[in-house]
Amino acid sequence: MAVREQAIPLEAFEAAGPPAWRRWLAGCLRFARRKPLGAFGALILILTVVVAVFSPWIARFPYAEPHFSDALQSPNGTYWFGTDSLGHDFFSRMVIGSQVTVLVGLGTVAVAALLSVLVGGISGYLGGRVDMITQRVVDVWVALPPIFLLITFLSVLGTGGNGFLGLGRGPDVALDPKDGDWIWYTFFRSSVVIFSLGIIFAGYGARIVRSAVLAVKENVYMEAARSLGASNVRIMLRYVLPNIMPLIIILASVNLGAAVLAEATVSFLGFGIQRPFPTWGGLLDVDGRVYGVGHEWLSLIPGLAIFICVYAFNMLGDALRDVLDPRLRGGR
Amino acid sequence: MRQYFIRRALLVVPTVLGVTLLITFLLQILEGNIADLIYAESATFNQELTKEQIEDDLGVNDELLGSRSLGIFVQWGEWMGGVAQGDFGEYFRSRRSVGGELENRIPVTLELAGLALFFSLIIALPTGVISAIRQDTLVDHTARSFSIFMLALPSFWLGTMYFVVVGRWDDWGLPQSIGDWLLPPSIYKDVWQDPEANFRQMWAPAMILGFALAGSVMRLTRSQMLEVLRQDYVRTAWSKGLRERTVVTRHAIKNAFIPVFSLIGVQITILVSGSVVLERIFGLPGLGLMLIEAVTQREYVAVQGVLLVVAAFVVITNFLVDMVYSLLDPRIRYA
Amino acid sequence: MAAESNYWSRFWRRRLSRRRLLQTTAVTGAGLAAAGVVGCGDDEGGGGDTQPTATTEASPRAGGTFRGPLVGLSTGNPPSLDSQRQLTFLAQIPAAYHYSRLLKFGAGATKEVDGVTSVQIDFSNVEGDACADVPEIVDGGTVFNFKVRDNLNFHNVAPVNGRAVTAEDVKHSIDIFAAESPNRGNWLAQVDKVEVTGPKDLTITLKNPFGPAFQVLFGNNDGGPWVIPSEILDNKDVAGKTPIGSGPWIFDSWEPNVVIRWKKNPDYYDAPLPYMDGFEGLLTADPEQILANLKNETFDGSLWSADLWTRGRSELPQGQWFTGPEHVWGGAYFNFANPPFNDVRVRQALSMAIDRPGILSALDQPRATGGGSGLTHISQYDKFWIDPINDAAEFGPNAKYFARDVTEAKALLSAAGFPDGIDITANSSNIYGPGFGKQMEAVSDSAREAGFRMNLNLGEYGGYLSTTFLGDIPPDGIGLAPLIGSPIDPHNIIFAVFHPSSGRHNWGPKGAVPAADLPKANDPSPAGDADLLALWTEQAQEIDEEARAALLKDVQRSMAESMWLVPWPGVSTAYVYQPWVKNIRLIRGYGFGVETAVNMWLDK
Repeated sequence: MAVREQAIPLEAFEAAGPPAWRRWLAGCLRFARRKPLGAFGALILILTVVVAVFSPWIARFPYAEPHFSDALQSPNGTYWFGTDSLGHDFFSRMVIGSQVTVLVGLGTVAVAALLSVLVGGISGYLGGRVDMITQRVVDVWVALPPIFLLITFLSVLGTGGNGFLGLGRGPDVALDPKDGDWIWYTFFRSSVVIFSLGIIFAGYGARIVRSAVLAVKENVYMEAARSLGASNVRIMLRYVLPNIMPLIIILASVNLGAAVLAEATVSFLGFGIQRPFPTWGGLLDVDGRVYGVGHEWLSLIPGLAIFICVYAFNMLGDALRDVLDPRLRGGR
Repeated sequence: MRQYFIRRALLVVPTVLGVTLLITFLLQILEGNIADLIYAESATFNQELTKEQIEDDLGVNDELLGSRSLGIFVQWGEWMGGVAQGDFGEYFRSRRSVGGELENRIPVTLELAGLALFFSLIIALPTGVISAIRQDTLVDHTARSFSIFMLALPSFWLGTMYFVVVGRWDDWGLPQSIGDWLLPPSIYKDVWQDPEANFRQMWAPAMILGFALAGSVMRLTRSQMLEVLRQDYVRTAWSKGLRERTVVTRHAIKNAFIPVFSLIGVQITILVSGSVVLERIFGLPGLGLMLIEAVTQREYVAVQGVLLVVAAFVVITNFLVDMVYSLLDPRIRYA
Repeated sequence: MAAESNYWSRFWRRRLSRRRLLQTTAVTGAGLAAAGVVGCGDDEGGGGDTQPTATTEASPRAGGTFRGPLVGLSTGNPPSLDSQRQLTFLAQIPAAYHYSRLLKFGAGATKEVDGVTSVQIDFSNVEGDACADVPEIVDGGTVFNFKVRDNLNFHNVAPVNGRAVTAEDVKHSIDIFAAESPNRGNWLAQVDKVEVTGPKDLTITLKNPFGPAFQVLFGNNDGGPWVIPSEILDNKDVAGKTPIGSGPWIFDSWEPNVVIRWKKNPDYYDAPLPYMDGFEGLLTADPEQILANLKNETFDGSLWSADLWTRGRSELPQGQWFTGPEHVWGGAYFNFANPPFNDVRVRQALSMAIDRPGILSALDQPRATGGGSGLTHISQYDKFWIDPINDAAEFGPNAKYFARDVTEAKALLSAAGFPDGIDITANSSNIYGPGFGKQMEAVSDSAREAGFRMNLNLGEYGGYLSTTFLGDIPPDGIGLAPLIGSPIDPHNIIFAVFHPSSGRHNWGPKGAVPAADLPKANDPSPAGDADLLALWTEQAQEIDEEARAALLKDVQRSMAESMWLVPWPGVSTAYVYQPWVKNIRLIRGYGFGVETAVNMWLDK
């Protein structure tokens, strides 16, 4: 084999294959073919996010606009999902309610991921006394059932319109800029729930991240990096993190379904985002339970929506787990 | 073996104590003016006595070395001291004993959780095994989908639907006597007092809760079963010409179930969590409902009591499960 | 002097004329029953209606236990059973079962609503409860001489063991009430002193003549004073947990969040009443559960909700469904210390923004308000109220503040400095049940069009009761609530909610303002409304009903303009009883335990 006499410019290499986005798209399609249910899950996720983001435009009436003479109508041409007892358009309420589902779902997952990586990662990496103490703290953290802790948090912090985390800063959540709430305002309204749930879920994630970090620590290249004088932070960021990334993604996708379910449960119980701002769990409680008999759509539709989302997100999580980490598969 | 046991046992106490500290912190730090709110709501105008008593109960004014933050430890100490003697404190307004209330409520939640666990196991275990031994067939795919189905179905929705169905029972022309039996009695009856009424109240929420649990138990059973079936000793059994049934029941199941058993420890948390909603819908006077009531009425002493009991229960159960697990699987002990 | 006291005696006799009439007709217990008249067995001979009812009923049968929700559709575990010291309706409702009060009320005329005949409790039909009879009035209507019943004993339970009730016991109860009850404002404003003049004799002296004295002071079932033995009353631990009194039911047990149970008091002075052996008031009440239990025949009756009327009737056609105009007055109340609601234009704008007829059409399924606007109060006190929507001509120009006029509302808001509308927080509690929750939501939704962007905050009851309810409302906030649950007379509605001397008034400052300090000059709250306060005092002291009605109507006209409270329309009440429940007297409010439950019997 002759040795090339001229170096091949880097650009030539990079220009050679298909562009990055094309490769990424091909990867997605492959995923979809292999794991159709997972793809379904991803589709639902995207759909929900799109609906949530564009909800002020998708909703056909303002969610708080009453039509007293049209109360309790079953689904028809004007009101696609019928109306509730005050004549609100149920379709619009469900659409605006999706904002909370998406925000709390994704927000919780993000907060939980961040926290569990921080806590589990640092604890696992540093080891020793730090690890031991953190372990005990995490044990305490997860000893309390999530709903119990969440209810206590929420009742103590309150979820009234008090700005970010109830601390009184940020846009006043009483603001209703147009006919319908823009998702940013909903974020502030649901910030307490997001952070409470995120903190609670992080406890479980921290343990898993820690054991993964422990496994990664054993690798030889870690020792190599250390001997080259890399700082701890650099090692964690460049070596540990990319290795546990698949795990984080899997955890996130698993948490997503759980977060949506937890938020719906807590809204159903009357904690969480307060009436009359629509949340799917809240609609099930207020309208579905009281008017459910005789007006079945009021309980079927929110319940079905919650169910489909949780199911889809779980399927997505499963599929991601199968693809990203064969060791954690639930079985081929 | 004993060393492992002792090591784990020693962890239980600090964990529970840590939980109590967490609870105390939570309630002290996050809401500063609980005492004011409770006092005003109690609406007695005998100012000195009541407000002081409330503040005493809450430990709002405790100070250690002149510092309010350290004072929280004093409050914690007093509370734990009381608990050690069996005194969980009193409700502010009615001066009822929190401990007495807990005594009445714990069996209810325990019964619900136990029954739910039972239901989930009888659904999940056989399904998981069958799904594993018929891997990748239609049966397997159906079972797997169904398990996620069960996971995703919100328990509060099922509970609401239950009442809708029972409410409409007669209208749909279904047999009256069954409809009557399905409607839970309105006043809670203990299992010792009236087993039939008790079962009528418990079976539906337990079944719904068990359903939610069965999904994850089934999946774990399946994956464990698959892993075991790949083992050498199983292959040996096959090659010896044993029937499938013998291979599965005699050799595989025992080993597969061990990790499932440890999953129960985690599921306890979920069970107790899930009981909150179902107790609310079905009107069962258990710990979940007690928490909601206490939290709604700002009876924080009662909240502390409930959280402590629940946390202790979770921690101890996990410990016991770990112990049994290590007994069953010798590999763990020496890890 | 003699002529004056004759006038007062004649007046009081006229007020009770129907009752006296009944006493003189010779009706025996059996005769009453045969004629289908309620109130069988009443020794006084009163409390019954001589007009025969449409249906003849069998003679009452003793026995059975009534089971149903205690509070109706609000889930409510009382924080304590100390009725003499508690504000919340959850603690007042059980009181009538085991405690007596000085006076109570008897049945009124039969009414027919929507083809359904019912008997209502008539608050002008006053009877003795702990006291043997209506008191003797002397001295121009300010001195009342009560005689405690001879055969009135406390329950035969330790530590009182059935001892007789003396005037000392009653006085002691009243003293504690006057010192510690959050509901004592009205009593303190009207009562001068209470004296024991004999073992069974009690004299109560008022500061001024007071028209609704029987209803609002001595027969008051919202807050008392209840007659409670000192062994219970003085010990706060016991008072909150084990109430013992002299009422028709003996407290049996309280399972928090589940049920309160009572047993019949065999030594009740009005024997053979109560007919039933026991009463079980369920504390967790959910419309689904209630309906299911009614269909399953495990509940005997319940309060119901106007927005579930159609469903209830279609699912339980065999039940006895009653409806009537709502008695619970609800509205938006304010903290006048803070802008913007210290500006009357903003309050008026709010009132004109609410779509009251729309709310009624959506939520009031029985429409038993009789086509009324839902803004007048208590059917039997029609004479004291004018309907601003249906009788606008009689009401006068201020009626316009109750009519929906979005343009005018926006104009008023603009003039007050809010051309783009205003963002406010509406604070209330979820304790009132889904029906009231819907009403509040309807109010906040319909006001949006005029520029009131309300963020509805239905908090938990304890927090609400200790802040918003007592007037501690932050700026840009209002409170929303059904304000009075047991209104017997217009006085105790309006006084409790508005009058600065009421300990319960729902606006800042907290605590009663002593009457001597009123009116306060330049005060943006009702304490500064000298005209209204004067009208107020006048109507309280006006004995003649016609004159008093005229004054109360002026009060309403004045309040329509000042809008110290912005009411939303009251929807109809609804009750349902199983077909075997007989002898039902409908009462809205907290006297159920003695006025209604005592007379009921179960035909099964």
